[in-house]
Formats: sequence, C-alpha cells, structure tokens
Amino acid sequence: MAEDRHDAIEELLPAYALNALDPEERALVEAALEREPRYQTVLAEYLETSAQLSGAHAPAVPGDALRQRVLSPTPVGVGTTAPRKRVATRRALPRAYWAIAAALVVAFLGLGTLALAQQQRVGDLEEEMDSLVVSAEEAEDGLRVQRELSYLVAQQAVAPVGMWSMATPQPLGDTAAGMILVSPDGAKILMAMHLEPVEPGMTYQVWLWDLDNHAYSVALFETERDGYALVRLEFPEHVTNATSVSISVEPEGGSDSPQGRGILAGRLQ
Amino acid sequence: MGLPPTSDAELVSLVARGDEGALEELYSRYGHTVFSMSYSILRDYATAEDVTQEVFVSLWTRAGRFDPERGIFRHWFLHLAHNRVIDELRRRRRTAQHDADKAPEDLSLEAPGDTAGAAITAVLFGDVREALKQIPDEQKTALLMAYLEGATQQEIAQRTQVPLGTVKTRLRLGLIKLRHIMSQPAGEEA
Repeated sequence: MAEDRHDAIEELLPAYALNALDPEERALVEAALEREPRYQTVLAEYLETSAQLSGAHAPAVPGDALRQRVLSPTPVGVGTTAPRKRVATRRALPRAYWAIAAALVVAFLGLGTLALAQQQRVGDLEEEMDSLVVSAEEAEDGLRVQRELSYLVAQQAVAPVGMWSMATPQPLGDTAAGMILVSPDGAKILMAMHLEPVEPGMTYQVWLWDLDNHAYSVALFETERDGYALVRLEFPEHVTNATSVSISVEPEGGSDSPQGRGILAGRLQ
Repeated sequence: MGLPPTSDAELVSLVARGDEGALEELYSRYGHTVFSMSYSILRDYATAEDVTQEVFVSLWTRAGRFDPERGIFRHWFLHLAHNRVIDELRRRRRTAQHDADKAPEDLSLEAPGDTAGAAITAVLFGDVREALKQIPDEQKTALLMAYLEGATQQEIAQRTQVPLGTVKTRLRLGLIKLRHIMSQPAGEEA
C-alpha cells in the first residue's frame, strides 16, 4: 500500500543519514527523495546531526601535497594510469568526468542460469527500460533517469555498477554510458549505449582491474543497434580482489593489456 | 559587480560551472574536516589522503546535484564524504586488506557500555563527545557501529542480537536525542 511504503521509506532515513543502508535500500531512498521532496525535510534533521558527528573527529592534518592533488587538472586514462590505484604514491586528479549513466536497453539474451520467473521479471523490466530510453533521449536531466533506473534495478534485486564516461563532458545523448548488472547467481552483464562504431580492424575490449593494478581481459564486443551493446562478462575465478572495470578500443582480436583509448570506467562495489 | 561569493552554496554553484578557484576555497573550508574523518575511521594516512581526494573529485562532478532549496551544503557534503569513507572501509573488509592490528580494540562496539565510551573518547571530540555520553547506551552503540564502523542496520541487528526494527528505532531515537542535546545552550541539561 502507498501508506506502508511511505512509512518504510521514512523508517530508512536515519540509517540513510548514517550511511548504514545496503545498496538496494539506498537506491530506494534516493529514488523516493527525488520523487517526494517532503522526505528531504525529515532527512535534513538527521543529516544535521550526522554532519555534527563528521565534524567532531580528532584533528588530523594532511600533507601540503594533498591540496595540489585535489586541484591538479591532469587527466587520467586507460593505458596510462589505472582507474583506481591504492598505493601510497601521489597521483593527479582525474579531469571531471560526466556521470550520466542514462537508461539502457535490456535484452537479457542467453541467460540460462536465470529462473523462468526471473526471466519474466526481466521481460517486464525491459519494457520499462525501453520507455526510459525514450525519455533519456529527450530528458534534460540525466540524473532523473538515472534515479529511475536505480529504483527499477533495486526492485529487481540486482546489484548495479555504474560506468562513467571518460570523455570530456558532452550533452546528454552523445556521451557513452554503461552499467554492469550482477544477478543473484553471479552472472554479470554489461550494458552500454551511445558507443561509436569502431573503425575497421578495431574492437571494444572490457578489462577487469585488481588491487595490484593488473588488467584482465574479460570480453571483446562490437556495438549493435545504434550504439547499444549487451555483453556477458567472464571474470577470472582466481581474481578475488577486483576493484574496477573499464572499456577501451583495441586492435581486432584484443590486446594483452589496455593500450588504446579509454571509453568507460566504473568501480565495483 | 557583486561582492565576492562567500557562502558555501555560492561556491558550490561555481564549482558546478567548472570554477576551480571555488573548489580550492571549499577545500580550504572542508579539506581538513574530511581528512580528519577519513583518517579517524580508516586509520591509514595514505588511504585517508586518497579518499579525501576522491571526495573532492565527487564534489567536482556532482556539484550540480546540490540544491540549496533542499538542504545545507555542509550537511550534504559531509554526508557524501562519510559515504565515501564508509565505502572504502567496507571495500577493505571485503578484500581483507584492513590491518586489524592498527585499529584500536576500543573501536569495536560489539559490547555496549565502557567499550562505546572508550570509542567516543578515542575518536570524537568536543560537544559531540559529551553529548554522546548522555544518550542511552543501546542507542549510542547503534549510532557508533553505523557511523564509525560502517555497519549496516542489518549487521547491527545481527551483532547486537536484536530485531531489525529495534535497530531502526535506536538509530532514529539516538539521532533525535543527540540533536536535542546538541541544540541545548551550554550548561543546560538535555
């Protein structure tokens, strides 16, 4: 019932203010906040208190170099610097990248591991996604579409991983965007849109990065249907410390390591 | 020509338009706070610097999302920063990278009472520390397990062996109580 749903969201707001929700609940709350601004009023009081906690830690002073790192305009790209690098060395701030993640067309093909009921839900999801694709093409606010997508994904109990364009900011509709959905049985599907066709002799290649900054090739693909791509990813079983995924343009047949232009990157949760 | 912008809301509006000077000013205002929180929770200097940098990258890319009609920048930004810190804490747990030897034992909040008090003393300062001492132990424990340890409400329920609904209530009442205490003039009882 609508009233039960209202109570359920309001019940989650204190935990949301403390960042104590799992990803699905967080997505539900954020979608509700976007749709019903009255929750913002309730949340504001909780955020005030959590901000007081955040401001009450024992003072620690960072090195002077951190300011330069934060403000450095040096760009970062696949093949030159890893999307994430967890070592105690100085690295430049990546240039502002456009987090658009517009709605995607879902065509879950060949997912034999999904139960029939799940496939039916996927079919329903596909219809809703199609409508969002239309609105994404026309929407001025990609964030609204993103939140709608997050809400739908949360309802289907799959874990999304957003992939952000590594290109400089462009108007919505022109920038490549992507998402990885992880089904309950561990299947990983990459969905991407607005990918430019690669030139002859080239291909898109998907990379899985680990904590040691090693990149593993997990898929090669071509675009289809006006720039859309749907790809099943095969993560190597021996990689247990994966941190992020990226897509680059490589010679046909793939490369042993990322060499070409970076297109999309996203951090695994 | 108007006066130079001084409010956080004005600065974040400039950041949304790509003004690096405004970002620098916001770093001056909040950089140490974010770093202190990161270091206090993550207990690793280099990681705290990395996370602080990432928080300001998030600010750079998400500044346009802040709506001054919906809230105060400080609250929004510190929530974003805390979220990033907790994400890192959880990531390290999952990859077993966290060095338990570095984390003081008194930051473990599985048992209430003195342990929580020690955690407060070790990590938090000033009025907040004093205010936390005035709220019921079970509420304090739930709050700090969430805020300092990155526990989800389900995890809190499992570790404290109470129903999820009870945890939700404790978090809500704890935040309300804390807010009430913090709003009282100095010297007055809550």
